[in-house]
Amino acid sequence: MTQYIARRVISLIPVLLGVSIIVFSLIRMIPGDPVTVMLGERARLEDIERVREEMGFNRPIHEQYIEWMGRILRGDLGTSIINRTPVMDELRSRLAATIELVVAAMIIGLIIGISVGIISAIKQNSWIDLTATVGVLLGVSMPIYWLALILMYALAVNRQIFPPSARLDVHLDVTRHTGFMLIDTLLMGDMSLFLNALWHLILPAFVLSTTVMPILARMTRSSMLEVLRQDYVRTADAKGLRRRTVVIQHALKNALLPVITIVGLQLGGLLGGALLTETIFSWPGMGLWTYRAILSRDYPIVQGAVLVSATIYVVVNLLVDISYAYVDPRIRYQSQ
Amino acid sequence: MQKRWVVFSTMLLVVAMLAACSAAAPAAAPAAEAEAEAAVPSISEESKVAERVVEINYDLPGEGQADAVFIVGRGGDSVLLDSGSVTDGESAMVIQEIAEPLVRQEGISTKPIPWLAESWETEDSQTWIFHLRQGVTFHDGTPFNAEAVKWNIDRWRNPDNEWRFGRTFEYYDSEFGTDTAIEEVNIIDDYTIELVLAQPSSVLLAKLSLSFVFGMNSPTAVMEQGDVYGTPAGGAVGTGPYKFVEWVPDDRIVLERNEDWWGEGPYLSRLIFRSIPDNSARFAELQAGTIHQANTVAQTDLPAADADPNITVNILPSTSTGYIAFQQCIEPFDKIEVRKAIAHAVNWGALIEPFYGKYGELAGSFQPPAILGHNPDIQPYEYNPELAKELLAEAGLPDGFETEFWYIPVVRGYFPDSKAIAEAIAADLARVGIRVNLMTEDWGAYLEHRNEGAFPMWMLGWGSDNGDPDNYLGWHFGHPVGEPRVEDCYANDRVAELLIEGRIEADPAVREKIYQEAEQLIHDDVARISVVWASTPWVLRSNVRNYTPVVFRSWYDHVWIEE
Repeated sequence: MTQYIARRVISLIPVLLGVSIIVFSLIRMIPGDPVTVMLGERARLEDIERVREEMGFNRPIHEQYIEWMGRILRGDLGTSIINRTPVMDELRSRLAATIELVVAAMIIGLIIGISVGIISAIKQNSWIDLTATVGVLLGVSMPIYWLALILMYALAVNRQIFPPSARLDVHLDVTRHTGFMLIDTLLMGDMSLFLNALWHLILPAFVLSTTVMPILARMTRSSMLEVLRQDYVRTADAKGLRRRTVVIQHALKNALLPVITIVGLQLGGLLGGALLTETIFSWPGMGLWTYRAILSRDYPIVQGAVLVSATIYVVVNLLVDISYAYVDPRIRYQSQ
Repeated sequence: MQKRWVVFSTMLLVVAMLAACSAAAPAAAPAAEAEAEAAVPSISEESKVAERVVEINYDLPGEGQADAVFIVGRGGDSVLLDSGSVTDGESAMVIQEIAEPLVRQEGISTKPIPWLAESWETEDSQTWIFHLRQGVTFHDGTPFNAEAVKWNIDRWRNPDNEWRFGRTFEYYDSEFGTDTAIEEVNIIDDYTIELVLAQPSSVLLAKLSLSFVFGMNSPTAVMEQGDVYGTPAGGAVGTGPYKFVEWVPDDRIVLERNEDWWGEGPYLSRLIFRSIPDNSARFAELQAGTIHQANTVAQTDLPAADADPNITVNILPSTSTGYIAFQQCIEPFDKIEVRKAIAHAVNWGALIEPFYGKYGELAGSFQPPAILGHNPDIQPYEYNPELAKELLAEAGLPDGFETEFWYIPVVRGYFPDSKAIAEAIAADLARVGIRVNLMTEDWGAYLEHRNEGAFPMWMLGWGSDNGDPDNYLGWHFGHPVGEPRVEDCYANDRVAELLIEGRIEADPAVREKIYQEAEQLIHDDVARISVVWASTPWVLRSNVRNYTPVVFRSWYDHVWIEE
């Protein structure tokens, strides 16, 4: 097992190296550079040339890449071209904001998605199952942008049940230790602050969760159906166990394996969806940050942000693979 | 192996998705009905030729109404709050509340008025003496005096200054390039300072009035904070009506009232700039009342803004032009008949109503009426397709010709829907036999290729930076005599001479004549076709008073909220 994990960890290196090369060259392939974007309508040839020279964009691209890689190995993601702040400083708070949002969305998605999946499987072809199927279809086909605005108008503008955007009321203030609003407010020991942060999190997290909810529901349903037809489930039923025990203890545990795989893979979808959610709900996270950086061609930020997102994505998928062994003892025995 | 490819391609997809989003530019401006009243103070403009006397009539808040918290919702975050080293509007609008310049222009005038300098004198427009306001302190207690001014100017003009932290001061460079640089800064006494320019320039005052560029930073604060100055970790320290409190990136910037401000006001206890990137979400917040002002409201939301009694749409006189330009060193645009034919082939007037509503006016001269040197005698080119065909025949192109026509990839007030506008123009041109291929590309590349003179015919626009014609006509057509600009290759030595004269001449009345003559020549040469003078709609809650969104000043020093 240890050997397996070690091998997987080592295999991450070429993957991340590849990602770094791709992102480094892709962002430079987009026409225009930070200098032109920065100077805008007033850009003059001689100014552009001078600034470009100052920023080192005139040097060969491989030299620039090697310098960047060298810094990364020393734990330095470089400095933003546009406002000259270290990328790493900014990354911390951005990452925390996005992780908070994505984790909350995943939790909501898992709770609703798996529950709906189980119920549809048990009551196959009933009206509940049909409603769920239609709901899933709607969920898949609804653009997140549209859903977000509809919910915002319904629940934040016309009826002010939720705040329309941001992570905390603009009149409140919080000392930022971890960057996770829920944790920071708890650390301050102020319950009303914590509830305010939670209250701001619900709407965006719910909207984002709709990107994973349908597939989780479908996966749970089909995998439950398959497991429920297995001999050992029939045996358990025949033994006279309570239906609930059979479903939760015997069937669900085995049915969850493919669902866990999906959770890992869907994380990429969530990070992508977070871009839109963050934009609409003014959530100062990775997505919004990267988006702005691309607009202004702030290469170090784009590179840093994508590299970190890629790392998270690969690491989570690695963790998912490892977790199989714990969820399903059969895999554990095989590898021994 | 297969799995690795999944990872690869997913990452590529993420990158591609992000990249695709960069094409979606924020929507802006025009169309729909609106009442310009209430929130913006009445500005009475008596344009007595050159002396543009402008009075701003403010009403003052009553008892207990001067302590509100004002929240601005805007599309982007500031880049940096270090005046001088930024060029973007989002940084400018915060900086100009914190830092103040020596000179300011009141209202929409181009008439400089004293600000941190109480008065000034010059005999030859080359050596300038400024007498500074006394008793002013920066927010950190540092006294404002000649030494502080010299420290700031030295920082702008010297690329090796140790307090620049590697930042570029592009605005200084473009305004005071090598020929017009500030050569010497001499402290005469504590409150008197002398500037010597490389050559005489009457534009100096207008230039210095840009607070977000030439606003004074506290030397102590910059030296103490070092390279975090102006960033979220540092902040900004000036002498202005509002003090920096906090900056949470992409979330909010909080300013509070400077109780010791030397001026009158301000009437808000706090001023908060929130980043709300999505246009529709921002407008929703304005409707919900969680913000008092929404910058850049989508055209489609303006009717709703008008219908809402809690929201007011305000318009100020235009300081922006949308135009069509030509590369005049290549065929067929080197022929004036061809440029004239295009000018007469298109029904320019028909573009205004559908695309701009009341936020645009059909342009005659290049500069809108608010800018000194605007020439009121210039009429828009008459729509006359027959004449256009005759002109083409004269140019030896009776069957017309084919060319590329480039339109901007972003939304701007001067071209809110550039593709549709370009299509309308193309349709008119096709009727006289000019077949244009509509082209566009990424904004950065677009600007770059424009600068290189790579477009035969293109759309672009301009908004005044400092209200001075040198920054308007001068910016687009000014060049050393005999060395036409690369972008359009327009060569008219008389225009070049006039624009050089205009920069040096001190008497506004003479300057007005100079720029008016240049306007006429440019119009006669069809060097460019001015399509529209566009105005920006400002969308606010109806209970906001005294909002003055004019470049080169604080916008919120007189604002209060009627409860």
